[in-house]
Amino acid sequence: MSTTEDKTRKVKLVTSDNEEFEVDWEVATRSVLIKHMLEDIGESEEQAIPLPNVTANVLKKVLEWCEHHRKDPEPAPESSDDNRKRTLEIGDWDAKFIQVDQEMLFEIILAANYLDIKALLDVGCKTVANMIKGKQPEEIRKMFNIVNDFTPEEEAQIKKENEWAEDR
Amino acid sequence: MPMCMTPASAAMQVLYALETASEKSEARHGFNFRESDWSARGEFDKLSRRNLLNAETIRKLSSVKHRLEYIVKLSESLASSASEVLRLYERHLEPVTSKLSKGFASIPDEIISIIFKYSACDEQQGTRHAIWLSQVSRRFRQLALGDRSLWSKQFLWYDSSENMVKTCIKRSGTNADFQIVVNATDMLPRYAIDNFLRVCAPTASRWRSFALICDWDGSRSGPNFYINDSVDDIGRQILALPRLRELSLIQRHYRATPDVLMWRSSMGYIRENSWDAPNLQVVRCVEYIPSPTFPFAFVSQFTMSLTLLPLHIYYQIGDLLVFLSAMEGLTDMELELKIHGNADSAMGANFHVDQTFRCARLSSLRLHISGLTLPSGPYCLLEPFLEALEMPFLGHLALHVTLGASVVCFYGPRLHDTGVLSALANILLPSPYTHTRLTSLDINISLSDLGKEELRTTNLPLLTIPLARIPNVTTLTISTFCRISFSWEEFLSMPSKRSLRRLRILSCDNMDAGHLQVMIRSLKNVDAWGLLDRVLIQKCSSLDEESALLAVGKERMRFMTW
Repeated sequence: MSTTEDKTRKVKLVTSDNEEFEVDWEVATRSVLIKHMLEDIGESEEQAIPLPNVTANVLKKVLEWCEHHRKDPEPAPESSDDNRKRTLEIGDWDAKFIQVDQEMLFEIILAANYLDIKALLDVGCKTVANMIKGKQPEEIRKMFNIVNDFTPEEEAQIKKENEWAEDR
Repeated sequence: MPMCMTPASAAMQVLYALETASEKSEARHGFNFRESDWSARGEFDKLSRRNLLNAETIRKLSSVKHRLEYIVKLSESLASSASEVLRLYERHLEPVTSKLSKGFASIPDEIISIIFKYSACDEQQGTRHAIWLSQVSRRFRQLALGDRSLWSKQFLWYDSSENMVKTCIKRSGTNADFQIVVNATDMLPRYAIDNFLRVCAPTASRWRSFALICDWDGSRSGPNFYINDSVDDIGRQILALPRLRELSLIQRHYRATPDVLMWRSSMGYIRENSWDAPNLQVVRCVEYIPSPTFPFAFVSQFTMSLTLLPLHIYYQIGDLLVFLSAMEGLTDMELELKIHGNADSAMGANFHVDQTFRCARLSSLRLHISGLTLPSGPYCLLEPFLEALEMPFLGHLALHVTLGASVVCFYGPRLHDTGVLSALANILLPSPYTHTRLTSLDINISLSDLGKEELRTTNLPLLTIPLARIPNVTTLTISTFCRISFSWEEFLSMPSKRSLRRLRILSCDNMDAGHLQVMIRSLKNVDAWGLLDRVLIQKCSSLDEESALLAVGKERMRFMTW
């Protein structure tokens, strides 16, 4: 649980391209990774947290999300994935926030995963899921530049599967 | 080597043979040569067994050794030239693959699996989407086939095939929970449901949820085929369902003609319980009220969405009351009543319920009403309906009423001084005599978007909450476009009790500092203000924190903009 002192504290973050960001403790600790690192270094305010897997332009975007969600309640303890009720709905603000090009979308997903920001990771994953939902294999390949690397034998197997699907 | 073949052409044959082998997918998984594959090895064994190193044996061994040296050299040359060609391909493809390294290629497997789970949760596609995912690339296929939960949602569509259902069941493994969805449309023959359930029946012990979605537009089978028939088809199956927790019965687009919505009562249907579902807790119904002989009277949660139709509303409300009173185990209920074509006012004064229907264990009710006609709707529909419901254990009640533009249009500039919304609030609140345990109340009276436009031309109406009708309520949440005030009208034989301690004003976008002061004054007038512990003002866009603090005082107030 955060204290009043924590809320006024500032945190320094350094990106892979050596850019420094100074943010509120409450914003930075949306990231479980940063929160744990801060716990490890204790009261040492001057010490910057290195984030070697995140570039400045991606961190800027991630911090924008953290700032907006700074007051959100702590995420519930991890429940089993299979038992969790899944929905593709994304809040209005998040939907607007995540309207970025595909490259940035995947960068945000990777950063959210690395920084352990589960809610942001979910927003990113849901966005990609919405993009592929209802699309056939060729459409998915085209949309994400995925190479069809099946062998002729595998292609034949897939063709057989599709025949099953049509076999009524 | 055939007589006509030179050593060079024989070596080339090796290369061609390798190229042929590489076309086969198994070759890419590697192949280990064994010493015994070589005739030279057999020759060695034969010659060395003689244990006699005479000139002839030595000549033969040297000859084979020489041939083997040639083979090793040839293999090295072959590997070297193949590597050159491979490097050529890599150099050529590198600019393309480096671009492709963005996107999915840069995402670890565990995240792709999360994306797959989300994309496959779409009820419209189900396992069909999992099949498509498994056909995108080798990596996608490996991940999709490796996640058994992707295959555990079994759908019956008009185009489902038995083989595909069986394949999906096989891919789901042996223990994952199953979600079964039967989507019955005009194009699905009735025997298909039986066939589908027969194929899925061996997995019945793993069914977690079951949904029957009936969607007829009347274009093929006409209005004679209704959800009741499908419920019968399914209910006849003898199934042991120890994990079943949720049952959804959904009727969509039931029309006599493309323009006329239809309703058919289930009252005549006698349901027999062929399902053994001891853990069934939740039942959801859309446009369908099960018969009172519904075999799961002890479920604890019930949600229903129902469109009330002008020619059928009388029977719909009657059926609903009978069904609810038969559900003896209900503790939590959510009802969404959508009034179509002024059906509520069409009831006139004919609707009268001369008995009460007891929901003996119900502790929480959320009631959503849209399309209500004012002023007649509350009197013709809501009052008799709510008065007929007896809920002695009701602790939490949430009332959500959405008014259409017609209400604002009808009253025009007079809306603010008609008192029609206060009358509505009065009717919505349950009788304090029979609902003595009600301690938590949410009132939400909102306008549709069109209504909001119309409201710009009139003054804000006043919503008066009669505090004496909710003597035991300790927590009250109000969301409304109206101004708010409180009143006190004594009820005969009721003690003058004021329990309200926490007041939450939520998303009241028209509430400004003046309106807040008027509300506080009304609470003071009925001696309720001094008893409040906490006033939470949340997401009220016309109020700033300073004005709110000034009106409420810092000891009670909590202000939130999110």
